[in-house]
Amino acid sequence: MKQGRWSMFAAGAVTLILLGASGSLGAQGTVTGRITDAATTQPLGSVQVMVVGTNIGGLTNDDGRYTLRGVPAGNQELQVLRVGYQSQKKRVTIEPGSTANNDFQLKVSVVQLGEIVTTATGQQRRVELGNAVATLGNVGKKVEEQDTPAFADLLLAKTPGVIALPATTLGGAPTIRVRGLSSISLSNAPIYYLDGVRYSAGNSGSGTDTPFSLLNALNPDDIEDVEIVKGPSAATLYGTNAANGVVLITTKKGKSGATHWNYFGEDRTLIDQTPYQPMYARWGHAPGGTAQIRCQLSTMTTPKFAGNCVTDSITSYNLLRDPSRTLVKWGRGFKGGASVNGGSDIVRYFVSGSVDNEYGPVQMPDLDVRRFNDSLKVGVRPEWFHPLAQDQVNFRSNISAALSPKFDLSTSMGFTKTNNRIPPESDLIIALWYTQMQNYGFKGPGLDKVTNQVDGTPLNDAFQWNPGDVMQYVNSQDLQRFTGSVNANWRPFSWLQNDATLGTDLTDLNFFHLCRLNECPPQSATARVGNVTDNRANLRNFNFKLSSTATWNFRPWLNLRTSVGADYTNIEVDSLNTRGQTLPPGAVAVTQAATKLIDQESQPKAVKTLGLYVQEQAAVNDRLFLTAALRTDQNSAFGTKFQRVYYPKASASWIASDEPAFPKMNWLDQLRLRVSYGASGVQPGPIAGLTLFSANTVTIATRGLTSGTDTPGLISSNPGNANLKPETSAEFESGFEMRLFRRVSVDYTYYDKRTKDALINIPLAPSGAASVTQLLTNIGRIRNWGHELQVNMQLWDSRNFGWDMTVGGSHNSSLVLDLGTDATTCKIDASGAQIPGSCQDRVIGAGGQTREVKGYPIFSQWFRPYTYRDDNGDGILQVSEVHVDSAFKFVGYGAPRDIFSVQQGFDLLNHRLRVTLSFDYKGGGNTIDGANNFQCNTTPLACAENEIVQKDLNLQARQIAKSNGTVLGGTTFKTSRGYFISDQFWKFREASVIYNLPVMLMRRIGAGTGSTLVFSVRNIHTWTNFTGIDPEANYGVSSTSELQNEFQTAGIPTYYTFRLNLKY
Amino acid sequence: MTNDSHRARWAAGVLAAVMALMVACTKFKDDLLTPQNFGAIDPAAVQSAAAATALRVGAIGRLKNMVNASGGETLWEESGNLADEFRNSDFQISRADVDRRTMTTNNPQIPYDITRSRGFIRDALAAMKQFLPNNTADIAELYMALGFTEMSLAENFCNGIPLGATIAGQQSLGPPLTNAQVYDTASAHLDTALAINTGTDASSIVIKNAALITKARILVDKGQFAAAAALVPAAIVSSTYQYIFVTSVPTGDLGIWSLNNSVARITVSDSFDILNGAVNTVKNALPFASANDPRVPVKAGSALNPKITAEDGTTPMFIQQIWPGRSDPIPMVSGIDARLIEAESKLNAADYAGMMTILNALRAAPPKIGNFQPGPMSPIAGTPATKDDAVTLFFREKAFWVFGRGQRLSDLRRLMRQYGRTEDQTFPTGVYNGWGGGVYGHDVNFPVPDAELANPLFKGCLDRLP
Repeated sequence: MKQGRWSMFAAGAVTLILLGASGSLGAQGTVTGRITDAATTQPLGSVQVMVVGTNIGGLTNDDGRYTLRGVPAGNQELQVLRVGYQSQKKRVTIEPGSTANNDFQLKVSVVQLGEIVTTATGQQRRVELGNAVATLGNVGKKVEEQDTPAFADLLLAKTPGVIALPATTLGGAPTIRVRGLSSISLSNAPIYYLDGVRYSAGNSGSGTDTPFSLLNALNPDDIEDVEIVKGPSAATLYGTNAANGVVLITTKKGKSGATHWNYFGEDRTLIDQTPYQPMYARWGHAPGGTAQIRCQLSTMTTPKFAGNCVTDSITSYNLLRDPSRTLVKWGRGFKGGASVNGGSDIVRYFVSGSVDNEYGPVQMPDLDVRRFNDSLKVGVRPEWFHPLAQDQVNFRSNISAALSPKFDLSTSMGFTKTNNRIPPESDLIIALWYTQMQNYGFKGPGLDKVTNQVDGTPLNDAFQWNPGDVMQYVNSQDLQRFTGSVNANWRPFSWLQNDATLGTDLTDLNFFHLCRLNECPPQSATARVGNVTDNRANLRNFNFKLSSTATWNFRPWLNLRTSVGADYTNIEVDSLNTRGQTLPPGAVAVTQAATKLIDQESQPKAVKTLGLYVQEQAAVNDRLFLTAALRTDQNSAFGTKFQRVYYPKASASWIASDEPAFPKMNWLDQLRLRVSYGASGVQPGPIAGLTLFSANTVTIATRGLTSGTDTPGLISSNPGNANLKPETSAEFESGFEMRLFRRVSVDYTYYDKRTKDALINIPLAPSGAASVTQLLTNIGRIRNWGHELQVNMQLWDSRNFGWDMTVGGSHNSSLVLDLGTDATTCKIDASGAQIPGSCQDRVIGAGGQTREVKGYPIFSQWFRPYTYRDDNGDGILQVSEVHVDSAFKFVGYGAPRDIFSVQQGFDLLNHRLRVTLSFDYKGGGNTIDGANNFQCNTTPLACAENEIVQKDLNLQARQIAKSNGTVLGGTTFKTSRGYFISDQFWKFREASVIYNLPVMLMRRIGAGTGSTLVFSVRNIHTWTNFTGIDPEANYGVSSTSELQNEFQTAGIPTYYTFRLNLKY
Repeated sequence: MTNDSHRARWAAGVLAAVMALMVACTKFKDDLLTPQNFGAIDPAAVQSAAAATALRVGAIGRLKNMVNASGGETLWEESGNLADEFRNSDFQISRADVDRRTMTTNNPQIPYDITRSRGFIRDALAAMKQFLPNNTADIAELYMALGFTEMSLAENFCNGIPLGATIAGQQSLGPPLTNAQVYDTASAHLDTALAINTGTDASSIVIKNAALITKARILVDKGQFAAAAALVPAAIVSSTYQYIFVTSVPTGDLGIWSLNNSVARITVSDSFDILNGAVNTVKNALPFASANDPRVPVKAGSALNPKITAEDGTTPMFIQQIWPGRSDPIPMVSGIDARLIEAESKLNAADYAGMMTILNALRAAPPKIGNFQPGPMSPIAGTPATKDDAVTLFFREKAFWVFGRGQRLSDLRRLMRQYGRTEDQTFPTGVYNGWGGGVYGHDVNFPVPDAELANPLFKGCLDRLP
């Protein structure tokens, strides 16, 4: 039966091809021409030229020339499109066997977005799509003009609906979320394609709470464009796993024409501007006494000081800002590279290479350098001196060949080698920042101060661990990654285009941790005996895609386009984690250790997806575009029980302003309305549905003896769920685009996404004694909706001065519609039957901070509220003056949901100098002030809130509510509510000054036009009421956890960059 | 040839070719989508006698989590922290809250995970009964483990512990039970262990004795002292008997060693600390660190080489030396426990001299605790004149004998429940001088944590009484 359905589908798909492919096979001609800038008459390269209603198209070369062969004879319509210019259409008559010449002169239009976008079925005009597609456009130029340390920086505050939190540390993982959150237990991250190949974008372990990101292997300098397919309405044809959006990355390609060499070099300086708080000490004496003691607010958890201390003075110390002690120093980075592109109409090439080395603003304190070099004579290793660093090498080669007029073959290959290092941070006991954030509130020896590490090493005012010793604790990751694809495009007839793409993404990861013998802080009995961790992982993505598109001019006013396609994705992972302990001098390998352990081994496991789709598009008078499509997927994630999932799609796009009946208004250049509906899915991991056992070795005592034998054992590890199926999201989207006054474009979208069969980890009551604490189940329905608006404006454009601005924003909301009922809550009548309507709604996470509750947002945050009142008016709250409720209440969202950005560009000095400024806002969510939550509740002797802001009752109250709480009925109720605060902020994100180097100067060194010198700054200033380190810090966010955190860590550094771009 | 006929021939050819290809490729499609989970152990792999043995080993391994959690908190360590055996030396408020006896119901340190051990034991029992029904000692060991786990829940947690089960993947949840009801359930499982374990070989005897001692402990918990003592006379359970938990470096470190001797997250507690430069007496706390008792040898962290300092950087560290090695064996139950059960029976029979005889016999010839051999101790002079004195003496003696083995909290609860002591006379009370300061709260047991709210029949502890 299964085979029968497959065959029927195939037959249907082929029939559709053929029905749609009933275009003419008749005589053909050729169209050539030249395209120039209407104002300057300069030739325009890279202009898209296409025959409307066919698959025939091409690009102009550097001289602006194009040639289109195999154009069906008769009346045809040519359209030319290029970013930054107004598109044009022209009707031409093609005579059989002859060549028609058609030139175009394009007018500049700075407000236009990319007119050609990449879809699952190939490239299409944006106006044909009923859904919004965000296009960054000309990424290469943007990277040249604004320092872009990592790929994720390209997405920061650029696109409404896309919330991007940058990596907080070098090499760390950014958080990219498109149109909010809709999955409770599975990933909310979009999927990525690089030149048509599925690209792994997950995280990898770093030995700390901040994982490394595989996205950082992308070299921004190699990228031509990035498109974001935002939701299921647009991503239907990408199938399962595309429900959270699809990011399509296109690398640079060769262009026919003369060979062009590009060289660049950039020098970065990184400055950590985090507002680290000083620690304080309050000094005094007991009433009637003279001996100095440390005082504390009478209420602050330590009654040993209560009423017994008369304050004499307050001291403060900010160790992280003490130049003689701090580990915070300037970071530096250098990136250099070259690329060459060129070719002919037959073969085109793009080859590039670059080196990017950077170390973060962390450096071993001078006192420790001297201790190692001069006292201990061990020499400071580079990886200790700069423990936060990234070295990266990139190569890329993209070659395209027209093997015949009807057959193109192109290859895309990239290789990246990256080495990352990161010091211990966040909640590790030896976290580097912890040693200096925490201190005694004064410099030098003093009362109760521990001045030496346990092994006698001087702490130099640091807390507990010597920072130099911590920096010996090396965590590094080597990544080698190859991505390659081959694309074949065959156009046997003018009405039929076939595409095939075969690609792979191979990643080799090696995480390595080392503390040699007698290195690293003595945090445990085995910390300095020599420890090494060597973890290896291999990720292999394999992709194969086929698509065929036929066009048919059914009537002069109606063009039909039929596409069928199939794609297969195989994502395979294996890993081996090993560890060694007790190393002899000089040893650095697991095999050299006295104790060798294999912590975890995972044989290759794969998630395989096979999808088929068919799509029919109709263009009515080239101004109304209708699309209907259906995709069906099968995948291996559900064990042997294959389940077929169907994802439908329908959309309409109407250029209303092109209708003859549409009233002509001088101020309105174009109005396009669009509406779209589509579905897509998210699938769980490869073994989520299976009943499984895990092997664990146990030391079993010999009965009657006190010794034992290591014996292999088994325990149940997953009860399984044979009925698992993908979580499916269906989205309705509508919007409009307007172009006004030839200077302004407005793009608005409303979307409403409904997720059903939501895969949710249902907590299991521990007393049920199941092998897991939660079980993945399809039970929920979730709604996710919002608004997106972007306005592009050319406010001024003259020979000497230009001013353009882009303003964008989006707002997202979510709601848990249903989580089903909890069957165990149902009431039973006397006969034992369930009483209808007696069952209670299910709540996920009851009793916890993060809950899923019907009628509330996804990942809703719940805390016990507290109130306070300074009854005696002394400005100091007593424990009894703070009341913590016993019941939790909904507080708000746990992640940002509002973004707004303002990007401005100023062209000066006859457009020779350009200045760009970018500001952005995030808000609507809340995040934990981890620094104060920790410091003010664990080191109350020196917390800033205790000592210096004591008159701020809010700050006092939140600490009492957290540390002391309220006793009700014998139970103590505490709350961190006061530390969970609004995450809204404005950030001066980017500033850049781009100077086009004088032609005369360039000629002297043989360089050409377009060479620039750039000075740019990133992460310049933050305005916020957030009391912690940085409201944008995204420590702790993982593939499924959406809660930002910050904990004994640094903020995002400021980058100052000089870059020279030379073009030959 | 017309365009239409050209197209028709092309279409027919392509259709035929693609149909043939698709039919032929069905197997290819299935190959493409075949699950690739090499290394995953599915239910089919556990249908054998060897698998039943492996499940038994796995279940016993989970049982050991109450003392061995590879660096994490364990029931025995946390219960000692809530009582007076250990003091928190870590900077996490949640851990200090256990020590300070001010736990919230969502405190992550509440060692409730042991309840899940019951599921692994039941899995193993089902497999053993099916594939190795004649291995009665092994099956009895699993019943004993089940009873011991349930006894541990009742000894340490509040009234209101649900006991559900997951059988063949189906979870059934139960209502909250009183400690007495949980003791009854545990006792029934121990009865089963004793009933089926009829072997007389040394291995069977080891299991039998463990079940006897565990059941006797439950009887003591229920106040049936004479019946308890009758189960474990020296003629049946010798003073040197031990049922051992043991680890190795690959299978994890002994929890007490890891938390105290290695990462210094807990320190051996004492009856006093230093507050503002002056001695501050911790009311009711026994001087485990300073008593110089041969049964609880302790060294100051600063006197060790290398030195050991507290994870919080400030709390004075005292390092236990009963288990100085990371893989040292620790008894789950022992002959010492049996003698102490007998002694407590004497105490409750007002036979204080008999109690002293047993206690002094243990002191004269101390049995090993794991591999640790305490030195002989001089007898305790005299005999208590009153029951109150006898109770104080007995529980102090027992505290040093069973240090670190998960019994102290239950004994403190029993002092209140069975001997009429008040909380203020039993648990550490007054100023808390550990991390975060404050004053001791009033917790005398662990609450069943909020995670159990997933059980709709559970609404919280029935009470927090001892």
